[in-house]
Amino acid sequence: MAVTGLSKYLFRPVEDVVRDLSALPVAEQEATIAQLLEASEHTAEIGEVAMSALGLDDGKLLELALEEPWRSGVIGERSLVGVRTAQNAAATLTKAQEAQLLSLGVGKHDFGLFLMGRPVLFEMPAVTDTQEALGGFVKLTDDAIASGIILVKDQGGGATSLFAFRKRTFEVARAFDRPHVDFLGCEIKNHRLGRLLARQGFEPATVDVPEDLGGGTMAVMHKRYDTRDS
Amino acid sequence: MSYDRRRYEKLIAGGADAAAVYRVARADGLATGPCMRLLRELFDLGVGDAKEVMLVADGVAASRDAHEGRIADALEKAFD
Repeated sequence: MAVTGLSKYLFRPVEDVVRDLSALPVAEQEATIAQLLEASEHTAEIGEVAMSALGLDDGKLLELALEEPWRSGVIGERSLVGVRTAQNAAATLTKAQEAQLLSLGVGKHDFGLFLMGRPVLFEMPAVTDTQEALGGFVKLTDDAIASGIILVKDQGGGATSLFAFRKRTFEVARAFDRPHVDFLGCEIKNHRLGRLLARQGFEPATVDVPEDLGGGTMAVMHKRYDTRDS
Repeated sequence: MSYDRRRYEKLIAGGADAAAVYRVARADGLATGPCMRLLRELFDLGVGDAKEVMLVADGVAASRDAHEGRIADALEKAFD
């Protein structure tokens, strides 16, 4: 994300951003927040920062346009739409879908973004004594759940964790009526592991890294499964 | 989860390396994803390099290659 000159406001606790923005003259507050909104693809997150900076919570979002028109201009259509879309999308989740996402370790605050098709991070709880957590990202597409493993912190090798991850991802796909699961193993260095995955049908590719992991691209081994396979 | 980037920049200014910053970030409660982003931003690391820092700093393995070798062992056993 290119936010030259604005990066000091991003990825920091909201209260710090609020304090800094509050110290600016009002005209500069407007301009700075507007630039933040324009500079980032993360409109929902920036919208939340902007709302916090302006002393608004989600419930107040729709009131602001009536009460203080200049603020609605500052918040901007993009973030307004982003936040509302995420909130509305999350409200459509069934209990079963919510349970499956939680089982995988997706945070509730990311449900809306997930439903909008954005990659969101998960941290699957440990399933063995030697495992801390299994971290990665998951994305909802038209016909699949794409799920990438970034890190398996398991001194025992992680087979139990990986199979649990596989099972839970399939369950997420079924909960969302997706016929496929795309698994991605990210930045694999060990040749033996690469060959083993290749024998299982995984293929090399280069994909975008989710912005929440720092963006850019990375090498992956990926394979598409049919949800009826398991 | 957001974080106070300045806190970690101060650590780097004080001589902390990527592993030391990562350990502080974990102690601060950052999960795997935010830790990876933090390391990549502050140290200009690729995903693979950031993985290695995290695995070694956590004492999971001596290197990413060794760790993935163990995963290969475990999967081969499971597939047999």
